[in-house]
Amino acid sequence: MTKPLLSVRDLRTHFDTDEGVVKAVDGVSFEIMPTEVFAIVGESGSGKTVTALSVLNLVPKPAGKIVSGEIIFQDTNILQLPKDELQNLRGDRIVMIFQDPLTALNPVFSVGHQIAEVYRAHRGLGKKEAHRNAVELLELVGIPRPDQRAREYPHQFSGGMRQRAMIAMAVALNPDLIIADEPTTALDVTIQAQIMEVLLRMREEFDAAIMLITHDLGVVAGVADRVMVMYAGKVAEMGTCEEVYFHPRHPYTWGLMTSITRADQRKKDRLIPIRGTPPSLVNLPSGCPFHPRCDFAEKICSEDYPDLRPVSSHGQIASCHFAQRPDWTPPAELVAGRARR
Amino acid sequence: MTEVGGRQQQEEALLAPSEDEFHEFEDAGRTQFQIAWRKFKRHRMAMVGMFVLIFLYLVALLAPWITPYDPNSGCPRFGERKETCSPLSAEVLADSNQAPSLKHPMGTDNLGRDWLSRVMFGGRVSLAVGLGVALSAGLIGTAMGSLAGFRGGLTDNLLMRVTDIFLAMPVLLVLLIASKWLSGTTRNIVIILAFVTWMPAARIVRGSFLSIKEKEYIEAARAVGVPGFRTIWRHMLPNALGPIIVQVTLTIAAAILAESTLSFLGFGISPPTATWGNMIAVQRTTMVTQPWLSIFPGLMILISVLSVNFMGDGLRDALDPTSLKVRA
Amino acid sequence: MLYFITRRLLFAIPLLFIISVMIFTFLNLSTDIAQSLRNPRMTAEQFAKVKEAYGLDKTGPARYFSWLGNFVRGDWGTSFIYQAPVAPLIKERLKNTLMLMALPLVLSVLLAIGIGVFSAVRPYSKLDYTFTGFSFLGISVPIFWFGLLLQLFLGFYLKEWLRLSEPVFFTSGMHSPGRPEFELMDFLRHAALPSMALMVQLVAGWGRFERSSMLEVVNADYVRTARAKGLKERKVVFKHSLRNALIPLVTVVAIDIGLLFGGLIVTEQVFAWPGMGTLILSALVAGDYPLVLSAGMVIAFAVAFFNLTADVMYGILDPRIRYD
Repeated sequence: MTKPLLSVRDLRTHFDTDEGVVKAVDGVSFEIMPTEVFAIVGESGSGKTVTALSVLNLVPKPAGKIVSGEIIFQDTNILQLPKDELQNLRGDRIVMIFQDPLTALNPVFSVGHQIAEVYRAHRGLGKKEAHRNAVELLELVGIPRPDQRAREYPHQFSGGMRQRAMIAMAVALNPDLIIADEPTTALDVTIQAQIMEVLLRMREEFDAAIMLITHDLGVVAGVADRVMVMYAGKVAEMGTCEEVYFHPRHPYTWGLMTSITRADQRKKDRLIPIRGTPPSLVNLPSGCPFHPRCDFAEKICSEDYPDLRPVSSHGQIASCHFAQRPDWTPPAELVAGRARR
Repeated sequence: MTEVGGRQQQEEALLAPSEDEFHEFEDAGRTQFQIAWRKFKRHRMAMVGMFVLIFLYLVALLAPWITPYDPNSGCPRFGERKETCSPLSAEVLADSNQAPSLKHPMGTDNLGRDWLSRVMFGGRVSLAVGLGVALSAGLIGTAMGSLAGFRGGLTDNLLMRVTDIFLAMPVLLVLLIASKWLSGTTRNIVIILAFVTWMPAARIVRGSFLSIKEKEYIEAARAVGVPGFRTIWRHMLPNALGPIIVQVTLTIAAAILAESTLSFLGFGISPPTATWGNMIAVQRTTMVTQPWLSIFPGLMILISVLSVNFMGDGLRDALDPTSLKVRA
Repeated sequence: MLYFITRRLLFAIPLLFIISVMIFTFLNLSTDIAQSLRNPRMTAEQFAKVKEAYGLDKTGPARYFSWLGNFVRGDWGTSFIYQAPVAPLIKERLKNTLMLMALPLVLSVLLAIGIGVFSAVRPYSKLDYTFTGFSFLGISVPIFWFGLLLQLFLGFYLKEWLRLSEPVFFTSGMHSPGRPEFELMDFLRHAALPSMALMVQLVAGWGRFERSSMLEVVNADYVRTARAKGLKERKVVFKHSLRNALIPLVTVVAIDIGLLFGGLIVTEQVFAWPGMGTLILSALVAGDYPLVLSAGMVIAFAVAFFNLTADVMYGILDPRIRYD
């Protein structure tokens, strides 16, 4: 069995706010294999972005703090790395693509300059050579007239082009892990598929693993190898893409699935939104954090936190008291929708 | 619940999905005030500033009843010698040029006047000017801003050009020339200072008016048939109130400084009416021999302006929704 | 860009016109300049002649427009109190004001940037609180009073304590009397105190401003990107953050420099610096309208010019802004 590329163990990242301590990530563990596409899915505020930022130790300070846990990347604990070694890792071995490419690119520097910076910082290339490499990368991610575009500023790019440039910046040094935080959310629907395509092509080209963070299970389908569903800073369910799609065991995952709009949606199967809003991370509900919104909650759900337990022989796990019951299956609407697929 | 209210809340919930904020909207008035007050209370310096300011204004208000000596004649205001004493009498002059002591905590000047009493009376004028200017500037600005924002079009364009012109003027020069013309009574100084400080409030109010006009619930209210201006005004006020309060508070500081500067240069309120500024101007010549005569009034300006600024800073954090939420 | 500049300069013309009308009207309402030319021994006839010679026999509007016509043609008139042409007088005083402003401006900008960057990188640290405290003092202190304190402590007491025959820092003027034209040390010893008075308010205001614009920037997405790229912290702060946080500061500094031309009146008055401020103040007291008007125009022009500079700089520093 191959060794995992990244393994996160019992990660806890908390924020100090006016209202109290926000436990954005609270005891999350997972592993990413080399060249794997690992998806983290959840609503906003479920802790998926903070998980991603923690991997690069980029949690905004001083409010945010990684309280405990280990993040092992190729045998080194990132959280214990000295500052300069961490900087060498960032942008070189582990790279990140952010949600909104407009705000993620510095408005006062040209796109080419910002890509070239990666070569200059990590490889010590000269201005000219770095710029030439940047132009090549722009071409690689499908930006027309890259020579001219490299000299332009982010605001002169369209949303899709900006995200392509971000991807170019990310793959510049042939990384091992690409963290993509909602890479398509801020884009037009028509562009989203293109960007995913570019991202996956780059993964092929450079043999990188991808940590894909999204709130949209639809994006994940057919792309990810494994999926982790997060809720309120904790892991709700994790398994292979097929397992989570076809045999989800956590009512929250059911909710996520039924609330996806699909092209083949029929009028009679309505969208079933998950009722209520995500809980305040300062004051989590007792027991299972999902129980106030769960249609299947029983007394025990408000009393005990359900530990993650195996629900299949291949390693699927779920955090639900009833997940191991053989008759624990999704409601009819979901079954109907799935059958049509 | 009405249709309008329901939709409004739905929209609000989409924007701010957390449970807390949802309730915050429920009874906006009281809760918003409580939240602001809670935020303000956490600012230690703002609280200190507020209490110092309340104290200073109380002292200024009560000066005629609590000062031991008359600010202009230097005669005692209480006790048996009150009747017999006259300005420049040997009795008063015997106490002239005293350094600070228990009897005269801020010393006396060459006319034997108790400096503490005079500083207290000077504060009456300086602090009143500060408050008067801030309130009038706030009123003028609100009037100009709401007129421009409500009428729009040509009126708006014209009023905003006027605002631009006022903002582009060399303020001190205009102040000097204007106060030379309207020679220095307290009322005139307030008018002149309000004349050059109303612009920020106008911009704030105009901005809120315009943004409210866009909003859907105004459309709804209009459909029900409520007259336009009143509707917008009623909706605008809660939104713009925070920034206006902050602006008015900071104008107090600017006005106190401006009044003292004008009076110091001899263009403001003229003696014998004491203000902190003209007290320093008169005592410039004694700076080396009796420094306390200029140090104390200046210290009072510093303390009051500092208090206002601290308070304004706290208010900005408490009332401005864009201020940072996360802090360590 | 050129169109933008031209339009803004054209906008400045009505502004200057309005200001000059205001100055003239207020001055005319407040002082009768003719009285200052009167001499007790003059007969009414002689006085009328003098008035005629100075053009004071005409009505207000007529005098204003004759001043305006001459001013536009470059003839700035003759000062009543100095009995000398206005233009060279203003030129000399403007030079002195610029000499006083230059060094403190540069130092203040550098200090403000330093304070802003440090405070924003380590917000709510002890030093940040100290800087914040000092900047609150700086924006709250009346400058004239602070100037007097400087004169007392650094001018007078320092001399007494060190038992010197001559103060280390002079408290008035810009040259010692009887010295040769310009001597650097002598000039600096005169300029030191007014420069400090000036810098206190500038550093306080700008430092606070730069702190908050840095704070806005250090949490920006693109700064996070720069960190995620693995850039050195020095580059993240001084290149990616500061470059963006400087844009608003540059505009504020430009606007403030314009305002300083009028705002230096107080500092110059306290330290008896022979600059524009003291010139305009003495002219105002006497109601010397040709001098006040022309000096006022120079100041108002400076304000307008630096406002325009601020906008142009913004356009140059921020590639997102295009003027067309």
